[in-house]
Amino acid sequence: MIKKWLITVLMILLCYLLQTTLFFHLKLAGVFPNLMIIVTVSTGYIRGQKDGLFTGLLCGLLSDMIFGSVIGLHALIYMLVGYLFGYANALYWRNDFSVPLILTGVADFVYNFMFYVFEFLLRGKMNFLTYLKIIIVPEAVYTMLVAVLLYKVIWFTNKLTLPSDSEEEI
Amino acid sequence: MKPKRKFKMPLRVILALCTIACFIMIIFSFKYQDKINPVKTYIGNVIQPMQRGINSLGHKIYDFVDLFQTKQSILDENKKLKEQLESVKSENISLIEDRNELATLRELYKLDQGYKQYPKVAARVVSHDDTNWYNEFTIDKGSDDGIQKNMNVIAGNGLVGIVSEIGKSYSKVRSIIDDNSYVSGMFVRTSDLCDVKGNLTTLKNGYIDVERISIDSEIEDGYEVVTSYQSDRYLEGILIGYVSDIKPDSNNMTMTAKLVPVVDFSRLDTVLVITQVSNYDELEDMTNYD
Repeated sequence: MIKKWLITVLMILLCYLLQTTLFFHLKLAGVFPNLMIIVTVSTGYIRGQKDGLFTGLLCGLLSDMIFGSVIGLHALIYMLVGYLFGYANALYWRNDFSVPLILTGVADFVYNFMFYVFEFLLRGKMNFLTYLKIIIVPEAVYTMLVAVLLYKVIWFTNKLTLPSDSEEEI
Repeated sequence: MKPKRKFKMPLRVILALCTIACFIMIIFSFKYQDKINPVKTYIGNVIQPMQRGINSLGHKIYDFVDLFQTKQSILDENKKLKEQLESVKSENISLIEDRNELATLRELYKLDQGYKQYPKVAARVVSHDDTNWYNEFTIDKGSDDGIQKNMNVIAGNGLVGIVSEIGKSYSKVRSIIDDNSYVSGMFVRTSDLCDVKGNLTTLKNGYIDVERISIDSEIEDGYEVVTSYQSDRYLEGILIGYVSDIKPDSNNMTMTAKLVPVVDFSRLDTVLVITQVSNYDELEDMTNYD
């Protein structure tokens, strides 16, 4: 239990560091991928809703603490994403690498949509379609591309740390 | 079946509790921003050294990718330039170079006069905002190096942004292209005032918005905009950018325009922090007395 969460926390931290430093320099089409959404969705998909919820909460809190102006907003969004995409745990199949990619893309879309509603729509920025074109869609695509690699890493780490857990949940 | 029953009910309770906790945090941090800051800076102080380490690696990779991407275009360009070089006399080239140098030196001289009196500290950009929605970044100098909140940040010869939050050895800078940013600006040549606002949607095309320019002002494309004397957070006379595409608003009282910032924000690496704060606090005091 402790080992499981220690590794999750380390993974979140590493992804956060990569996202804010390295991937900023690897921008494509003006956006960089959202690694934390990959971690949240993958954890929810592999380990179920409860773990997805807590992973999302941790990701969001970290994000809030470093760059957020209001603490709790990112935490709420990530947590809901983790919880919602934890439902996909019912579809979990060990050697299937395509479902989590699609889920990641959809989750990134959902995350950015909620972000837009809370942070931009409430400030009176109505032109959603422009934001869809310049940020939401490119980011979802790029995140999916990165998820191809990252999901395998996460899946493998989970397999190593909790072989019995993942077997049980199938 | 058994573990499902065991997990199903508590999970909803957990979700509800966490949601309530989040809302409480949002409200609490909204109301008591000062009390939250020590917690934030504590975590920032832990994370920041790690970011600094990874960032140096990021720069190397970026340079490599950049080299890879531009290699072909550089090769093509090289071929063209060689042909050009033959056709143009060497005398002519030296003349053009001299003229360009003169122009940039003239410009630098003019600009430097504006803010050379301010003391500056150099800092490196460490990490960036984790969303694609905002344009904030952290630098590797903090309160230990004498940085304070609301200090202005410049790079090269233009305004970058303002220090919005400080930690022990890092500080957060909100750039002028951020969607939340607002700078009171002024046209150098005509002394007309305007508002420079960051705009995410137009940023992709390389410019931000200038609003509330008086309809009477005689401005033209390419005029310089600097920070105005009216600004309470920005020091006076720092170059922001050049305007273009000036259009009257529908109310026929004001005009809007596009502004191309002088700073290249995609390649921001080292910035200068002006260690002199605008007389913001005095103004705030004065308004409090009223």
